[in-house]
Amino acid sequence: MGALWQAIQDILTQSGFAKLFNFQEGGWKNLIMIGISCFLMYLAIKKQFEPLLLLPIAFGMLLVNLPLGLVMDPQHNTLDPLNAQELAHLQQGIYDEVYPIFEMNGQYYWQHFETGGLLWYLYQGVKFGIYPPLIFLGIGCMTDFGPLIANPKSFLLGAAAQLGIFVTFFGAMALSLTGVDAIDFSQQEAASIAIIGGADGPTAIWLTTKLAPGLLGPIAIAAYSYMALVPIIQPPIMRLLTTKKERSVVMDQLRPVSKTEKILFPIFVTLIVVLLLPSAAALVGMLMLGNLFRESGVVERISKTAQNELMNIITIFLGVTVGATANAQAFLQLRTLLIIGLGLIAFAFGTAGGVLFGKLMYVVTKGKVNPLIGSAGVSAVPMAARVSQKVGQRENPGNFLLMHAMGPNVSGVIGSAVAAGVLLTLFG
Amino acid sequence: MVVEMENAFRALAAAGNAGEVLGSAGMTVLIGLVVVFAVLILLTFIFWLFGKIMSGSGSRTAPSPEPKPAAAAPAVSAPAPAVPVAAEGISEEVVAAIAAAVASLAPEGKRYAVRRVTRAAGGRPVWAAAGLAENTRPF
Repeated sequence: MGALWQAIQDILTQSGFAKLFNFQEGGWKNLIMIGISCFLMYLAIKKQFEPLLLLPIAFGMLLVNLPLGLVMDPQHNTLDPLNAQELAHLQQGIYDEVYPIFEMNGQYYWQHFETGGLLWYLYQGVKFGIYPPLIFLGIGCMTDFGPLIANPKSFLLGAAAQLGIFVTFFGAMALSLTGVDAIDFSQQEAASIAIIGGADGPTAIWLTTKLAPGLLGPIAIAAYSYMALVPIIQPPIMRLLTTKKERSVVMDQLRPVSKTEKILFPIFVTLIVVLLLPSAAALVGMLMLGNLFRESGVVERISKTAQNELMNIITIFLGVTVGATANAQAFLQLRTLLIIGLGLIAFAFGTAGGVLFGKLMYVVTKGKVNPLIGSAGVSAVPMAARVSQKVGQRENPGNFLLMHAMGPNVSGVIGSAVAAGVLLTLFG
Repeated sequence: MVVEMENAFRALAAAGNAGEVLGSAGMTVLIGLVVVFAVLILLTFIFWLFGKIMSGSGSRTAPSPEPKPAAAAPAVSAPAPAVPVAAEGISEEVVAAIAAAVASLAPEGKRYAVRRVTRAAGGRPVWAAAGLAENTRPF
Protein backbone atom coordinates (compact mmCIF):
# COMPACT_ATOMS: atom_id res chain seq x y z
CA MET A 1 0.00 0.00 0.00
CA GLY A 2 2.87 2.30 0.91
CA ALA A 3 4.55 1.58 -2.40
CA LEU A 4 1.38 2.44 -4.29
CA TRP A 5 1.05 5.73 -2.43
CA GLN A 6 4.72 6.46 -3.12
CA ALA A 7 4.21 5.76 -6.84
CA ILE A 8 1.22 8.09 -6.98
CA GLN A 9 3.21 10.78 -5.17
CA ASP A 10 6.10 10.34 -7.62
CA ILE A 11 3.80 10.67 -10.60
CA LEU A 12 2.20 13.79 -9.15
CA THR A 13 5.49 15.47 -8.30
CA GLN A 14 6.81 14.80 -11.78
CA SER A 15 3.62 15.99 -13.52
CA GLY A 16 2.93 19.30 -15.15
CA PHE A 17 0.56 20.17 -12.30
CA ALA A 18 3.44 20.18 -9.81
CA LYS A 19 5.42 22.51 -12.09
CA LEU A 20 2.45 24.73 -12.73
CA PHE A 21 1.70 25.24 -9.05
CA ASN A 22 5.34 25.58 -8.06
CA PHE A 23 5.25 29.33 -7.60
CA GLN A 24 8.93 29.57 -6.65
CA GLU A 25 9.89 28.38 -10.12
CA GLY A 26 7.58 30.83 -11.85
CA GLY A 27 4.63 28.52 -12.40
CA TRP A 28 2.33 31.51 -11.80
CA LYS A 29 3.56 33.06 -15.03
CA ASN A 30 2.33 30.02 -16.93
CA LEU A 31 -0.98 30.27 -15.12
CA ILE A 32 -1.35 33.90 -16.24
CA MET A 33 -0.55 32.93 -19.82
CA ILE A 34 -3.10 30.12 -19.70
CA GLY A 35 -5.63 32.71 -18.50
CA ILE A 36 -4.72 35.04 -21.41
CA SER A 37 -5.01 32.20 -23.93
CA CYS A 38 -8.43 31.26 -22.55
CA PHE A 39 -9.51 34.91 -22.85
CA LEU A 40 -8.34 35.00 -26.49
CA MET A 41 -10.23 31.77 -27.16
CA TYR A 42 -13.31 33.38 -25.64
CA LEU A 43 -12.89 36.39 -27.97
CA ALA A 44 -12.45 34.09 -30.96
CA ILE A 45 -15.36 31.76 -30.22
CA LYS A 46 -17.91 33.93 -28.49
CA LYS A 47 -17.16 37.34 -30.03
CA GLN A 48 -15.88 35.90 -33.32
CA PHE A 49 -12.89 38.28 -33.45
CA GLU A 50 -10.81 36.97 -36.39
CA PRO A 51 -11.48 33.40 -35.20
CA LEU A 52 -9.58 31.79 -38.09
CA LEU A 53 -6.35 33.10 -36.66
CA LEU A 54 -7.10 33.99 -33.07
CA LEU A 55 -8.26 30.48 -32.20
CA PRO A 56 -5.11 28.63 -33.35
CA ILE A 57 -2.94 31.41 -31.88
CA ALA A 58 -4.69 31.13 -28.51
CA PHE A 59 -4.42 27.35 -28.51
CA GLY A 60 -0.74 27.45 -29.43
CA MET A 61 -0.25 29.83 -26.52
CA LEU A 62 -2.07 27.40 -24.23
CA LEU A 63 0.02 24.41 -25.38
CA VAL A 64 3.37 26.11 -24.96
CA ASN A 65 2.55 27.25 -21.44
CA LEU A 66 1.74 23.78 -20.16
CA PRO A 67 4.94 22.73 -18.39
CA LEU A 68 6.77 19.64 -19.65
CA GLY A 69 4.74 19.55 -22.87
CA LEU A 70 7.90 20.62 -24.73
CA VAL A 71 5.97 21.30 -27.94
CA MET A 72 8.39 24.08 -28.91
CA ASP A 73 11.61 22.38 -27.80
CA PRO A 74 14.25 22.58 -30.52
CA GLN A 75 15.93 19.42 -31.73
CA HIS A 76 19.44 18.93 -30.36
CA ASN A 77 22.25 16.45 -29.94
CA THR A 78 23.60 15.14 -26.64
CA LEU A 79 26.78 13.18 -25.89
CA ASP A 80 26.51 10.31 -23.39
CA PRO A 81 29.57 8.40 -22.17
CA LEU A 82 29.58 4.70 -23.07
CA ASN A 83 29.12 2.38 -20.10
CA ALA A 84 31.42 -0.63 -19.51
CA GLN A 85 29.24 -3.07 -21.43
CA GLU A 86 28.88 -0.76 -24.42
CA LEU A 87 32.64 -0.13 -24.34
CA ALA A 88 33.27 -3.89 -24.34
CA HIS A 89 30.92 -4.30 -27.30
CA LEU A 90 32.75 -1.56 -29.10
CA GLN A 91 36.13 -3.17 -28.48
CA GLN A 92 34.82 -6.57 -29.63
CA GLY A 93 33.46 -5.02 -32.76
CA ILE A 94 29.91 -5.76 -31.67
CA TYR A 95 28.30 -2.49 -32.35
CA ASP A 96 24.56 -2.42 -32.11
CA GLU A 97 24.00 1.30 -31.80
CA VAL A 98 23.04 3.36 -34.76
CA TYR A 99 24.37 6.52 -33.14
CA PRO A 100 27.85 7.79 -33.95
CA ILE A 101 30.61 7.21 -31.40
CA PHE A 102 33.08 9.95 -30.51
CA GLU A 103 36.32 9.76 -28.59
CA MET A 104 37.38 12.70 -26.49
CA ASN A 105 40.32 12.58 -24.04
CA GLY A 106 40.32 8.78 -24.04
CA GLN A 107 36.63 8.62 -23.15
CA TYR A 108 34.05 7.29 -25.64
CA TYR A 109 30.70 8.97 -26.09
CA TRP A 110 27.76 8.19 -28.25
CA GLN A 111 25.69 10.92 -29.72
CA HIS A 112 21.96 11.02 -29.16
CA PHE A 113 19.77 12.90 -31.52
CA GLU A 114 16.88 14.38 -29.54
CA THR A 115 13.92 15.22 -31.74
CA GLY A 116 12.25 18.59 -31.19
CA GLY A 117 8.64 19.33 -30.31
CA LEU A 118 6.01 19.20 -33.04
CA LEU A 119 5.43 22.94 -33.07
CA TRP A 120 9.17 23.64 -33.28
CA TYR A 121 9.26 21.86 -36.62
CA LEU A 122 6.17 23.64 -37.86
CA TYR A 123 7.67 26.92 -36.61
CA GLN A 124 10.52 26.64 -39.12
CA GLY A 125 8.07 27.84 -41.77
CA VAL A 126 7.65 31.06 -39.79
CA LYS A 127 11.34 31.34 -38.93
CA PHE A 128 12.47 31.07 -42.53
CA GLY A 129 9.74 33.43 -43.73
CA ILE A 130 7.87 30.77 -45.74
CA TYR A 131 4.33 30.98 -44.38
CA PRO A 132 3.60 34.73 -44.74
CA PRO A 133 4.28 34.84 -48.50
CA LEU A 134 2.18 31.68 -48.94
CA ILE A 135 -0.66 33.38 -47.07
CA PHE A 136 -0.21 36.29 -49.47
CA LEU A 137 -0.55 33.85 -52.37
CA GLY A 138 -3.96 32.85 -51.05
CA ILE A 139 -4.95 36.47 -50.39
CA GLY A 140 -3.98 37.33 -53.98
CA CYS A 141 -6.29 34.58 -55.25
CA MET A 142 -9.14 35.94 -53.16
CA THR A 143 -8.66 39.64 -53.93
CA ASP A 144 -10.41 41.54 -56.67
CA PHE A 145 -8.20 44.51 -57.52
CA GLY A 146 -10.95 45.84 -59.84
CA PRO A 147 -11.93 48.79 -57.60
CA LEU A 148 -8.28 49.84 -57.39
CA ILE A 149 -7.79 49.61 -61.16
CA ALA A 150 -11.01 51.54 -61.73
CA ASN A 151 -9.89 54.29 -59.37
CA PRO A 152 -6.07 54.33 -59.26
CA LYS A 153 -6.12 57.36 -56.93
CA SER A 154 -6.91 54.81 -54.22
CA PHE A 155 -3.24 53.86 -54.30
CA LEU A 156 -2.47 57.18 -52.61
CA LEU A 157 -4.81 56.42 -49.71
CA GLY A 158 -3.06 53.07 -49.27
CA ALA A 159 0.23 54.97 -49.05
CA ALA A 160 -1.06 57.62 -46.64
CA ALA A 161 -2.32 54.97 -44.23
CA GLN A 162 1.26 53.72 -43.79
CA LEU A 163 1.90 56.92 -41.80
CA GLY A 164 1.24 54.97 -38.59
CA ILE A 165 4.19 52.67 -39.28
CA PHE A 166 6.70 55.46 -39.55
CA VAL A 167 5.29 57.62 -36.75
CA THR A 168 5.49 54.62 -34.43
CA PHE A 169 9.03 53.87 -35.51
CA PHE A 170 9.96 57.40 -34.47
CA GLY A 171 8.05 57.01 -31.17
CA ALA A 172 9.78 53.71 -30.34
CA MET A 173 13.18 55.20 -31.05
CA ALA A 174 12.35 58.22 -28.88
CA LEU A 175 11.31 55.86 -26.06
CA SER A 176 14.65 54.11 -26.25
CA LEU A 177 16.28 57.40 -25.24
CA THR A 178 14.73 57.22 -21.78
CA GLY A 179 17.51 54.84 -20.78
CA VAL A 180 15.11 52.31 -19.25
CA ASP A 181 16.35 48.85 -20.21
CA ALA A 182 12.88 47.42 -20.84
CA ILE A 183 12.12 50.03 -23.51
CA ASP A 184 15.54 50.33 -25.03
CA PHE A 185 14.47 49.25 -28.50
CA SER A 186 17.04 48.76 -31.24
CA GLN A 187 16.24 50.11 -34.71
CA GLN A 188 15.36 46.59 -35.86
CA GLU A 189 12.98 46.12 -32.93
CA ALA A 190 11.42 49.56 -33.43
CA ALA A 191 10.85 48.75 -37.12
CA SER A 192 9.22 45.42 -36.26
CA ILE A 193 6.93 47.06 -33.70
CA ALA A 194 6.05 49.85 -36.11
CA ILE A 195 4.92 47.45 -38.85
CA ILE A 196 1.93 46.56 -36.65
CA GLY A 197 0.52 49.84 -38.00
CA GLY A 198 0.27 48.24 -41.43
CA ALA A 199 -2.57 46.11 -39.96
CA ASP A 200 -1.32 43.20 -41.97
CA GLY A 201 -0.54 40.09 -39.94
CA PRO A 202 1.56 38.18 -42.49
CA THR A 203 3.65 41.27 -43.28
CA ALA A 204 4.24 41.95 -39.57
CA ILE A 205 5.34 38.34 -38.99
CA TRP A 206 7.52 38.29 -42.08
CA LEU A 207 9.39 41.48 -41.15
CA THR A 208 9.74 40.56 -37.49
CA THR A 209 11.25 37.14 -38.24
CA LYS A 210 13.85 38.94 -40.32
CA LEU A 211 14.59 41.89 -38.02
CA ALA A 212 13.71 40.98 -34.44
CA PRO A 213 12.67 37.32 -34.08
CA GLY A 214 12.68 37.62 -30.30
CA LEU A 215 9.64 39.90 -30.45
CA LEU A 216 7.60 37.67 -32.76
CA GLY A 217 5.08 36.52 -30.12
CA PRO A 218 3.98 39.93 -28.82
CA ILE A 219 4.06 41.55 -32.27
CA ALA A 220 2.01 38.84 -33.98
CA ILE A 221 -0.53 38.79 -31.19
CA ALA A 222 -0.79 42.61 -31.15
CA ALA A 223 -1.12 42.74 -34.96
CA TYR A 224 -3.89 40.15 -35.12
CA SER A 225 -5.69 41.54 -32.08
CA TYR A 226 -5.83 45.00 -33.60
CA MET A 227 -6.95 43.59 -36.94
CA ALA A 228 -9.79 41.92 -35.06
CA LEU A 229 -10.55 45.15 -33.23
CA VAL A 230 -10.71 47.33 -36.38
CA PRO A 231 -14.49 47.87 -35.99
CA ILE A 232 -13.91 49.22 -32.48
CA ILE A 233 -10.71 51.23 -32.96
CA GLN A 234 -11.36 52.96 -36.28
CA PRO A 235 -14.87 54.52 -36.15
CA PRO A 236 -14.15 57.05 -33.34
CA ILE A 237 -11.03 58.28 -35.16
CA MET A 238 -12.93 58.48 -38.44
CA ARG A 239 -15.76 60.47 -36.89
CA LEU A 240 -13.38 62.73 -35.01
CA LEU A 241 -11.51 63.75 -38.15
CA THR A 242 -14.45 64.23 -40.53
CA THR A 243 -17.52 66.43 -40.70
CA LYS A 244 -21.04 65.12 -41.22
CA LYS A 245 -21.01 66.65 -44.70
CA GLU A 246 -17.82 64.82 -45.65
CA ARG A 247 -19.11 61.52 -44.31
CA SER A 248 -22.29 61.87 -46.37
CA VAL A 249 -20.55 62.19 -49.74
CA VAL A 250 -21.94 59.73 -52.27
CA MET A 251 -19.18 58.76 -54.66
CA ASP A 252 -19.58 58.23 -58.41
CA GLN A 253 -20.04 54.69 -59.59
CA LEU A 254 -16.78 52.98 -60.53
CA ARG A 255 -16.11 52.30 -64.19
CA PRO A 256 -16.18 48.67 -65.31
CA VAL A 257 -12.73 47.11 -65.57
CA SER A 258 -11.82 44.85 -68.48
CA LYS A 259 -10.31 41.40 -68.09
CA THR A 260 -7.14 42.52 -69.89
CA GLU A 261 -6.56 45.22 -67.27
CA LYS A 262 -7.10 42.74 -64.47
CA ILE A 263 -4.60 40.31 -65.99
CA LEU A 264 -1.97 42.98 -66.65
CA PHE A 265 -2.33 44.49 -63.17
CA PRO A 266 -0.44 41.79 -61.21
CA ILE A 267 2.30 41.64 -63.85
CA PHE A 268 2.84 45.41 -63.84
CA VAL A 269 2.73 45.71 -60.05
CA THR A 270 5.29 42.92 -59.69
CA LEU A 271 7.59 44.48 -62.26
CA ILE A 272 7.45 47.95 -60.78
CA VAL A 273 7.49 47.14 -57.06
CA VAL A 274 10.09 44.38 -57.20
CA LEU A 275 12.40 46.33 -59.49
CA LEU A 276 12.15 49.37 -57.25
CA LEU A 277 12.21 47.52 -53.94
CA PRO A 278 13.70 44.02 -54.33
CA SER A 279 13.30 43.25 -50.63
CA ALA A 280 9.50 43.23 -51.06
CA ALA A 281 9.76 40.55 -53.77
CA ALA A 282 8.60 37.61 -51.65
CA LEU A 283 5.44 39.29 -50.35
CA VAL A 284 4.41 41.29 -53.40
CA GLY A 285 5.46 38.53 -55.80
CA MET A 286 3.32 35.90 -54.08
CA LEU A 287 0.37 38.29 -53.73
CA MET A 288 0.47 39.09 -57.41
CA LEU A 289 1.06 35.49 -58.49
CA GLY A 290 -2.10 34.53 -56.60
CA ASN A 291 -3.99 37.36 -58.29
CA LEU A 292 -2.74 36.30 -61.71
CA PHE A 293 -3.98 32.76 -60.99
CA ARG A 294 -7.37 34.26 -60.25
CA GLU A 295 -7.67 36.72 -63.10
CA SER A 296 -6.13 34.63 -65.87
CA GLY A 297 -9.00 32.17 -65.50
CA VAL A 298 -6.91 29.34 -66.95
CA VAL A 299 -5.68 27.74 -63.71
CA GLU A 300 -8.87 27.54 -61.76
CA ARG A 301 -7.79 24.39 -59.91
CA ILE A 302 -4.59 25.99 -58.67
CA SER A 303 -6.41 29.17 -57.74
CA LYS A 304 -8.98 27.24 -55.71
CA THR A 305 -6.28 25.24 -53.95
CA ALA A 306 -4.27 28.35 -53.10
CA GLN A 307 -7.22 30.22 -51.65
CA ASN A 308 -8.78 27.27 -49.84
CA GLU A 309 -6.75 24.20 -48.91
CA LEU A 310 -3.27 25.74 -48.99
CA MET A 311 -4.40 28.91 -47.26
CA ASN A 312 -6.20 26.95 -44.56
CA ILE A 313 -3.27 24.62 -43.93
CA ILE A 314 -0.82 27.51 -43.67
CA THR A 315 -3.23 29.44 -41.46
CA ILE A 316 -3.31 26.53 -39.01
CA PHE A 317 0.49 26.18 -38.98
CA LEU A 318 1.09 29.92 -38.77
CA GLY A 319 -1.50 30.55 -36.07
CA VAL A 320 -0.60 27.73 -33.76
CA THR A 321 3.17 28.25 -34.01
CA VAL A 322 2.99 32.02 -33.61
CA GLY A 323 0.87 31.45 -30.51
CA ALA A 324 3.48 28.99 -29.30
CA THR A 325 6.16 31.69 -29.35
CA ALA A 326 4.30 33.39 -26.49
CA ASN A 327 5.75 31.42 -23.61
CA ALA A 328 5.50 33.01 -20.19
CA GLN A 329 9.17 33.95 -19.91
CA ALA A 330 9.21 35.77 -23.25
CA PHE A 331 5.74 37.27 -23.06
CA LEU A 332 5.25 38.50 -19.50
CA GLN A 333 7.51 41.50 -19.67
CA LEU A 334 7.06 45.25 -19.57
CA ARG A 335 8.21 45.27 -23.21
CA THR A 336 5.17 43.27 -24.26
CA LEU A 337 2.80 45.85 -22.77
CA LEU A 338 4.72 48.62 -24.48
CA ILE A 339 4.69 46.80 -27.81
CA ILE A 340 0.93 46.37 -27.54
CA GLY A 341 0.58 50.06 -26.64
CA LEU A 342 2.82 51.19 -29.49
CA GLY A 343 0.91 48.91 -31.85
CA LEU A 344 -2.31 50.70 -30.94
CA ILE A 345 -0.67 54.07 -31.61
CA ALA A 346 0.58 52.77 -34.97
CA PHE A 347 -2.88 51.59 -35.87
CA ALA A 348 -4.55 54.85 -34.81
CA PHE A 349 -2.06 56.97 -36.77
CA GLY A 350 -2.46 54.74 -39.81
CA THR A 351 -6.22 55.26 -39.72
CA ALA A 352 -5.77 58.99 -39.18
CA GLY A 353 -3.25 59.24 -42.03
CA GLY A 354 -5.69 57.59 -44.43
CA VAL A 355 -8.65 59.72 -43.36
CA LEU A 356 -6.66 62.96 -43.48
CA PHE A 357 -5.41 62.16 -46.97
CA GLY A 358 -9.01 61.35 -47.85
CA LYS A 359 -9.95 64.84 -46.65
CA LEU A 360 -7.26 66.29 -48.87
CA MET A 361 -8.69 64.39 -51.82
CA TYR A 362 -12.17 65.62 -50.82
CA VAL A 363 -10.93 69.20 -51.11
CA VAL A 364 -8.94 68.65 -54.32
CA THR A 365 -11.79 66.86 -56.09
CA LYS A 366 -14.30 69.43 -54.82
CA GLY A 367 -16.23 66.99 -52.67
CA LYS A 368 -16.24 63.92 -54.90
CA VAL A 369 -14.24 61.69 -52.55
CA ASN A 370 -15.65 60.53 -49.23
CA PRO A 371 -12.75 60.76 -46.73
CA LEU A 372 -14.08 57.71 -44.89
CA ILE A 373 -12.61 55.41 -47.54
CA GLY A 374 -9.14 56.58 -46.46
CA SER A 375 -9.24 54.60 -43.24
CA ALA A 376 -9.48 51.40 -45.30
CA GLY A 377 -5.92 52.05 -46.45
CA VAL A 378 -4.63 50.17 -43.40
CA SER A 379 -4.92 46.75 -45.12
CA ALA A 380 -6.95 44.49 -42.77
CA VAL A 381 -8.87 43.22 -45.81
CA PRO A 382 -11.85 43.36 -45.92
CA MET A 383 -12.64 44.41 -42.37
CA ALA A 384 -11.41 48.00 -42.77
CA ALA A 385 -13.47 48.47 -45.95
CA ARG A 386 -16.55 47.17 -44.13
CA VAL A 387 -15.94 49.74 -41.41
CA SER A 388 -15.85 52.56 -44.00
CA GLN A 389 -19.11 51.21 -45.40
CA LYS A 390 -20.76 51.05 -41.97
CA VAL A 391 -19.65 54.49 -40.80
CA GLY A 392 -20.76 55.97 -44.14
CA GLN A 393 -24.13 54.28 -43.94
CA ARG A 394 -24.75 55.72 -40.50
CA GLU A 395 -24.85 59.17 -42.10
CA ASN A 396 -26.62 58.12 -45.27
CA PRO A 397 -28.24 54.68 -45.36
CA GLY A 398 -28.38 54.78 -49.16
CA ASN A 399 -24.62 55.27 -49.48
CA PHE A 400 -22.54 52.29 -50.55
CA LEU A 401 -18.86 52.95 -49.95
CA LEU A 402 -17.81 49.31 -49.83
CA MET A 403 -16.46 49.05 -53.39
CA HIS A 404 -14.83 52.47 -53.17
CA ALA A 405 -13.18 51.47 -49.89
CA MET A 406 -11.93 48.19 -51.34
CA GLY A 407 -9.56 50.20 -53.56
CA PRO A 408 -7.58 51.76 -50.69
CA ASN A 409 -7.99 48.52 -48.75
CA VAL A 410 -6.15 46.34 -51.26
CA SER A 411 -3.77 49.18 -52.00
CA GLY A 412 -2.96 49.12 -48.27
CA VAL A 413 -1.81 45.51 -48.64
CA ILE A 414 0.64 46.58 -51.34
CA GLY A 415 1.56 49.70 -49.34
CA SER A 416 2.37 47.80 -46.16
CA ALA A 417 4.44 45.26 -48.13
CA VAL A 418 6.34 48.18 -49.67
CA ALA A 419 6.83 49.76 -46.24
CA ALA A 420 8.10 46.42 -44.90
CA GLY A 421 10.50 46.26 -47.85
CA VAL A 422 11.78 49.76 -47.04
CA LEU A 423 12.35 48.86 -43.38
CA LEU A 424 14.08 45.62 -44.33
CA THR A 425 16.34 47.45 -46.77
CA LEU A 426 17.24 50.04 -44.13
CA PHE A 427 17.73 47.73 -41.15
CA GLY A 428 18.06 44.19 -42.48
CA MET B 1 33.85 70.34 -9.22
CA VAL B 2 35.20 67.38 -11.18
CA VAL B 3 32.01 65.43 -10.56
CA GLU B 4 29.90 68.35 -11.77
CA MET B 5 31.99 68.67 -14.89
CA GLU B 6 31.72 64.94 -15.50
CA ASN B 7 27.95 65.11 -15.15
CA ALA B 8 27.81 68.08 -17.50
CA PHE B 9 29.87 66.19 -20.08
CA ARG B 10 27.65 63.11 -19.73
CA ALA B 11 24.53 65.22 -20.18
CA LEU B 12 26.08 66.83 -23.23
CA ALA B 13 27.05 63.45 -24.70
CA ALA B 14 23.57 62.06 -23.99
CA ALA B 15 21.97 65.08 -25.63
CA GLY B 16 24.25 64.65 -28.64
CA ASN B 17 23.41 60.97 -28.78
CA ALA B 18 19.69 61.76 -28.43
CA GLY B 19 19.91 64.23 -31.28
CA GLU B 20 21.66 61.66 -33.40
CA VAL B 21 19.09 58.93 -32.63
CA LEU B 22 16.12 61.20 -33.28
CA GLY B 23 17.74 62.63 -36.40
CA SER B 24 18.32 59.17 -37.80
CA ALA B 25 14.78 58.08 -36.85
CA GLY B 26 13.39 61.21 -38.53
CA MET B 27 15.40 60.44 -41.63
CA THR B 28 13.96 56.90 -41.65
CA VAL B 29 10.43 58.33 -41.43
CA LEU B 30 11.16 60.67 -44.31
CA ILE B 31 12.79 58.01 -46.50
CA GLY B 32 10.04 55.52 -45.72
CA LEU B 33 7.17 57.86 -46.54
CA VAL B 34 8.86 59.18 -49.67
CA VAL B 35 9.59 55.68 -51.02
CA VAL B 36 6.11 54.32 -50.20
CA PHE B 37 4.46 57.34 -51.81
CA ALA B 38 6.82 57.27 -54.80
CA VAL B 39 6.09 53.60 -55.54
CA LEU B 40 2.35 54.02 -55.16
CA ILE B 41 2.25 57.30 -57.10
CA LEU B 42 4.06 55.53 -59.93
CA LEU B 43 1.48 52.75 -59.82
CA THR B 44 -1.33 55.35 -59.72
CA PHE B 45 0.06 57.04 -62.80
CA ILE B 46 0.58 53.79 -64.70
CA PHE B 47 -2.91 52.49 -64.02
CA TRP B 48 -4.46 55.88 -64.69
CA LEU B 49 -2.70 55.81 -68.07
CA PHE B 50 -3.79 52.26 -68.50
CA GLY B 51 -7.41 53.20 -67.86
CA LYS B 52 -7.16 55.99 -70.45
CA ILE B 53 -5.68 53.64 -73.06
CA MET B 54 -8.24 50.93 -72.38
CA SER B 55 -11.22 53.29 -72.45
CA GLY B 56 -9.83 54.86 -75.66
CA SER B 57 -9.50 51.52 -77.42
CA GLY B 58 -12.88 50.46 -76.02
CA SER B 59 -14.61 53.48 -77.56
CA ARG B 60 -12.91 52.86 -80.93
CA THR B 61 -14.05 49.27 -81.14
CA ALA B 62 -17.61 50.01 -80.11
CA PRO B 63 -18.47 53.48 -81.39
CA SER B 64 -22.22 53.15 -81.20
CA PRO B 65 -23.61 51.59 -78.09
CA GLU B 66 -26.46 49.22 -78.76
CA PRO B 67 -29.87 50.70 -78.15
CA LYS B 68 -31.00 49.34 -74.82
CA PRO B 69 -34.13 47.28 -75.28
CA ALA B 70 -37.08 48.72 -73.45
CA ALA B 71 -35.13 50.24 -70.57
CA ALA B 72 -35.47 48.57 -67.25
CA ALA B 73 -37.02 51.59 -65.71
CA PRO B 74 -40.64 51.82 -66.30
CA ALA B 75 -40.18 50.80 -62.72
CA VAL B 76 -41.28 53.65 -60.55
CA SER B 77 -44.33 54.84 -62.32
CA ALA B 78 -47.12 56.40 -60.39
CA PRO B 79 -50.11 54.46 -59.20
CA ALA B 80 -52.43 57.10 -60.62
CA PRO B 81 -51.96 56.41 -64.36
CA ALA B 82 -52.31 52.69 -63.75
CA VAL B 83 -54.68 52.05 -66.57
CA PRO B 84 -52.63 53.53 -69.42
CA VAL B 85 -49.48 51.81 -68.09
CA ALA B 86 -51.31 48.49 -67.98
CA ALA B 87 -52.30 49.10 -71.52
CA GLU B 88 -48.62 49.33 -72.47
CA GLY B 89 -48.17 45.71 -71.69
CA ILE B 90 -47.33 45.84 -68.01
CA SER B 91 -49.42 43.41 -66.07
CA GLU B 92 -51.76 44.63 -63.36
CA GLU B 93 -49.83 42.63 -60.76
CA VAL B 94 -46.65 44.59 -61.52
CA VAL B 95 -48.53 47.88 -61.32
CA ALA B 96 -50.06 46.79 -58.02
CA ALA B 97 -46.65 45.79 -56.65
CA ILE B 98 -45.12 49.14 -57.64
CA ALA B 99 -48.07 51.02 -56.21
CA ALA B 100 -47.69 49.08 -52.95
CA ALA B 101 -43.97 49.89 -52.86
CA VAL B 102 -44.68 53.60 -53.36
CA ALA B 103 -47.48 53.50 -50.78
CA SER B 104 -45.19 51.85 -48.23
CA LEU B 105 -42.85 54.85 -48.39
CA ALA B 106 -45.63 57.41 -47.91
CA PRO B 107 -46.34 58.93 -44.51
CA GLU B 108 -49.08 57.00 -42.79
CA GLY B 109 -52.62 58.36 -42.76
CA LYS B 110 -51.89 61.14 -45.27
CA ARG B 111 -53.16 61.36 -48.79
CA TYR B 112 -50.61 61.99 -51.48
CA ALA B 113 -50.30 62.17 -55.21
CA VAL B 114 -47.32 61.30 -57.40
CA ARG B 115 -46.94 64.24 -59.76
CA ARG B 116 -43.59 63.55 -61.28
CA VAL B 117 -41.10 60.70 -61.46
CA THR B 118 -37.51 61.65 -62.28
CA ARG B 119 -34.31 59.70 -62.16
CA ALA B 120 -32.15 60.62 -59.15
CA ALA B 121 -29.06 62.52 -60.28
CA GLY B 122 -25.98 60.31 -60.39
CA GLY B 123 -27.85 57.45 -58.82
CA ARG B 124 -27.78 53.87 -59.98
CA PRO B 125 -30.78 52.02 -61.44
CA VAL B 126 -33.21 50.89 -58.82
CA TRP B 127 -32.60 47.19 -59.44
CA ALA B 128 -28.82 47.76 -59.32
CA ALA B 129 -29.29 49.50 -55.98
CA ALA B 130 -31.44 46.63 -54.73
CA GLY B 131 -28.83 44.11 -55.86
CA LEU B 132 -26.10 46.15 -54.21
CA ALA B 133 -28.02 46.34 -50.98
CA GLU B 134 -28.54 42.58 -51.08
CA ASN B 135 -24.87 41.86 -51.73
CA THR B 136 -23.48 44.21 -49.13
CA ARG B 137 -25.95 43.34 -46.38
CA PRO B 138 -23.74 40.59 -44.90
CA PHE B 139 -21.02 43.17 -44.29
